[in-house]
Amino acid sequence: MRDDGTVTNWQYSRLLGLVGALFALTAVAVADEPVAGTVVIEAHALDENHAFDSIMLWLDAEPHLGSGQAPHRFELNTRSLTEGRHLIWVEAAQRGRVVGRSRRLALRVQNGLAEKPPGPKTLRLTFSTAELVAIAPRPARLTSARTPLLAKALPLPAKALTPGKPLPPSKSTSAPVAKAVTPPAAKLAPLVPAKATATPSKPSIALPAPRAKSGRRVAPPISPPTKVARPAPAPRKASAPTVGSAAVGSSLPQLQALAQIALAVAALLAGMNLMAVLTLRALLFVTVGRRRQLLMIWRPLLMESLDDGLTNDPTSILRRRMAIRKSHHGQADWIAFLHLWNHLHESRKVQSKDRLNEVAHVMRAHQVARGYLTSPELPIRMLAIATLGNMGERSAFEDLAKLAADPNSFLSLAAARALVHSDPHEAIHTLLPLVATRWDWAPGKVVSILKEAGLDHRSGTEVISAPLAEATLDSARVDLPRMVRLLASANCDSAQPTIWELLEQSSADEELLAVCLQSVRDAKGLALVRPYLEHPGRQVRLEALLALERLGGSTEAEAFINRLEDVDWWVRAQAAQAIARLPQASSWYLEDLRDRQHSDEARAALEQVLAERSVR
Amino acid sequence: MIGWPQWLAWLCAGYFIALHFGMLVLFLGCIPSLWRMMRTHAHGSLPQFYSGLEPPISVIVPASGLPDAMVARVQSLQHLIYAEYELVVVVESSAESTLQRLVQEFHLVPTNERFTHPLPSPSVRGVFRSTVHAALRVVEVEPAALPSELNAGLNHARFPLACIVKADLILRQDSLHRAVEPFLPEGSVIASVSPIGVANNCDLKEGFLHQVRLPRHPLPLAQVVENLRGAVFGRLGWNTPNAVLLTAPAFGLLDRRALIEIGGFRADTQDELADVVARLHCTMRRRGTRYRIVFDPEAVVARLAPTALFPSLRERARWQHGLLQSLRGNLGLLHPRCGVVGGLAFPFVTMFAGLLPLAEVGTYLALIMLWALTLLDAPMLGSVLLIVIGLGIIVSATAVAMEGVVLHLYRRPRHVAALLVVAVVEQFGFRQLCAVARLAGFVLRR
Repeated sequence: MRDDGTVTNWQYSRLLGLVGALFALTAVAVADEPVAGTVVIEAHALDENHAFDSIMLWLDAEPHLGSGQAPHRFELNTRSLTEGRHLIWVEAAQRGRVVGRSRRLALRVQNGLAEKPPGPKTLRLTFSTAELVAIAPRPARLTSARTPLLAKALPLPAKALTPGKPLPPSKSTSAPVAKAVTPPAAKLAPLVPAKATATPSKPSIALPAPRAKSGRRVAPPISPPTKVARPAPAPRKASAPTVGSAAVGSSLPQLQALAQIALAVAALLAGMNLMAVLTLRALLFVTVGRRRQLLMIWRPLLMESLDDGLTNDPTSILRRRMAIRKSHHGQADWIAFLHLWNHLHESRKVQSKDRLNEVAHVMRAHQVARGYLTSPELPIRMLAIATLGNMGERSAFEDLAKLAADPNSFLSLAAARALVHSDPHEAIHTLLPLVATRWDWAPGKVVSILKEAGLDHRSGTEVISAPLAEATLDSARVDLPRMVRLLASANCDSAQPTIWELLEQSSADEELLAVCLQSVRDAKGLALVRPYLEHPGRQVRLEALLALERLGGSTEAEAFINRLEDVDWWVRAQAAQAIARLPQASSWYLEDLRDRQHSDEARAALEQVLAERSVR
Repeated sequence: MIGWPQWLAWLCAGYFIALHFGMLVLFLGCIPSLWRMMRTHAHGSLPQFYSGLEPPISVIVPASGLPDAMVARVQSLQHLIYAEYELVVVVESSAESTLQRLVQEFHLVPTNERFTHPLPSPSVRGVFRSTVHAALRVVEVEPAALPSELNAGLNHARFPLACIVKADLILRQDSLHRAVEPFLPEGSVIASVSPIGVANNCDLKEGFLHQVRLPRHPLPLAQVVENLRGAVFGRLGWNTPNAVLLTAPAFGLLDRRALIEIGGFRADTQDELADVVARLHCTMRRRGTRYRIVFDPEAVVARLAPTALFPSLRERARWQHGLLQSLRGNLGLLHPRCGVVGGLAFPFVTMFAGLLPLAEVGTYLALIMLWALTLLDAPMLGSVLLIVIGLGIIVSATAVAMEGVVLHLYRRPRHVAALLVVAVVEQFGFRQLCAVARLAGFVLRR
């Protein structure tokens, strides 16, 4: 029940029937405590952290008695109450503001029973003042006009709250808010504190009538209901009281503070993020701007050297070089310069490249590039490798050879290419042992790099031809298939003879044989291929069949027909396909051939081919 | 002492404070990665001279949709700018018309190439090579779940790196070139993932993304903001501790060998890539193998976001379902050997991505009910909503601002302004609607 006399949440909820049971359970500390006669009610604070200067005892949603000084004890004469259920609780107030509330206690008055129930004589109500209780003003929907069945609290009459004046009797009938209503005479008797030690210095709630000698206040005679005015309740903080809490507090200020702090910290973090990225952007802007300026100087200079050779005074070039080195952004400047130089180098003809190399040597760019080979940043190392390769710098061969063995395939391939540019012959011999074992090097890449070695000026053959063949034959068994594929992809002069040599060796390795048969491209190898049609290995027979078709064509028709009797269905199927691709393989030819076959499997293979043909 | 409604309000507020603060801290963690990226791009603005040496890539393309569309797609993919790559198209045997069109268009012939099948996949009925396009191969498989079909494609791939290009993805012509960059500096990178951009209102040229523009429709715009907040900067922060986990569909380039080690794609997953990334972390960490999974914030692929509300919400439900599947299926990440991934990233993703729809919807429902029952007063309600929505706005706006400064995908100031407006407006209704839709992901079957 609120101070302004309107109905409480739990009552409203019960009325609505929403969660009545839940609220009732949580609202009532002890369910239906049977009482009879006079019961002493003691109010105790759970903590003394917050002061309170008065206690109010409420009965059935009406204030009954106040106590301004400890111990806070009240005597309730249950005989003045109707039989049945009544609710009591206490509220602590500080300067008229409620600071604590106890849980509601249900009493079941049973004075009318022949045998009085052995109920408690003293009831203890505890409350906490750890949190302030803020009671919100009642919304209009919960006024008496809309809830006529609910009892309304009455504001305490001002007169009743002054010392010495008895409190108005409690009532159980509803009444408009702020109107004092005298309860029925038979129901209630005013209460009196059991002990009152002294007059309170600051009574905010008036004590009842002075005590008689016995310490008990004499109950006034029951009088007809009279209207008693109550003082207006002290203004309270607006808050919805929680149902059932022993002493309901509100954490709104803390939550509001948390919200503000959270938003502030979030804004701070967001600001830090933005500041960081803006700083990065600014740094980058400066770097890019400086790079652009440098390129504006060097691009025309290099273009000029491409056309006219090194006409500029080398001294001036060196001076510009020194300017680069001494600048605060030395490394960045060199990187920009080397990028430009390499770009021009890769887009120019040989003669122009020589001129660019001349400029680079005057600039001693190779020394700078060698220094960058150990940079922790991959793009810079790549730049250095490309520069040394394009310059054909022989002095860096050992460094590049070490990088060609780097586990990083990207870096190692770039170093391999640079090696081939710097010294083709030496590079081939350095790289071939790596080629066999570097499974991460794509064969196509390797071949294209090796082919950049070009032709041997003396023999006119490719530089890689003989060394690659030799390396293939010397490879470990496990590496042979890969090397054969490389050799075949290189398509150099030594490729086919090497493959024939391997076929002649009749290795037991089926994979190697299959790869060799796949790689046979010269019709001179037909004689070596035919015997493999009878190989026990399925894949070998298959590759031999395909090699015969590739190299022999229609001359090998008989071999294809023989393979129709192969034990393996896939070989039979491929043999039938090969026959179907023969120039003479008309539908009549295939049907006739099918009819002449003795085995069902051979006929089935040809029927498949005929069926596919009919669909087309 | 406070009552239980207030405790609930505190709990809700606390969850969203932890979520958004975590996001902002992740944004701060992006700074080193962003700096490296910006410097690389500055170098990249100068002429490239060492291209051609990048590792070759197998592009796995699961066939779907109409045959003509599939043919156009394959034709388009053949014009990717990359040194060496192959296309492996996986076609179900039930899609006969698609296979016939491919055979006809690309002059496919059956091949007898022998491949090992290290990954579980449906039966392969045939493998076809193109006689005119050497890099094209078509694998015909029995109908099965998409992840199994992708495994079949991986079984027939030849190159060390592989990526999956589904039908709804729109690539740039240099997508592979950009996707492979994280693999170049280090040999330990086994996966590179990037977000999927929004292609609405963008210019396409020959099937490739040519010019990125800001979407005009509000739903794709909201998708852009959502991507920036969660899919871009929310993941980039995990780069530094090598703890990237996926919470939404992404595009990935994977080391084929590592993929085979973990058994490829699982047949019962909705989001295959998220599951694979989590399993890669789990397997590599438990073995103590040195590895990196890198997140690249720049979207190398894009897709058209739905412009109708219901499909957009249904999509989110599916994403949530995929996320929950990958989380459920990778509880092994909680192993002590999984380090930061299991101890920090996985719980963070579970709490603040997996359970986020529950928390969001639960918060709003609880607050509204408590307020209606006058168990919670308006100021309390307002405080909690201020935390939830206010922090959401700050995080979204920060992500948009960072994009404008760093990624520069939407360069014009009015684009950034439009995104900022959306970042604010989406918090009042759309985000809540998406949360409700994502709740369906908890009960989706597939």
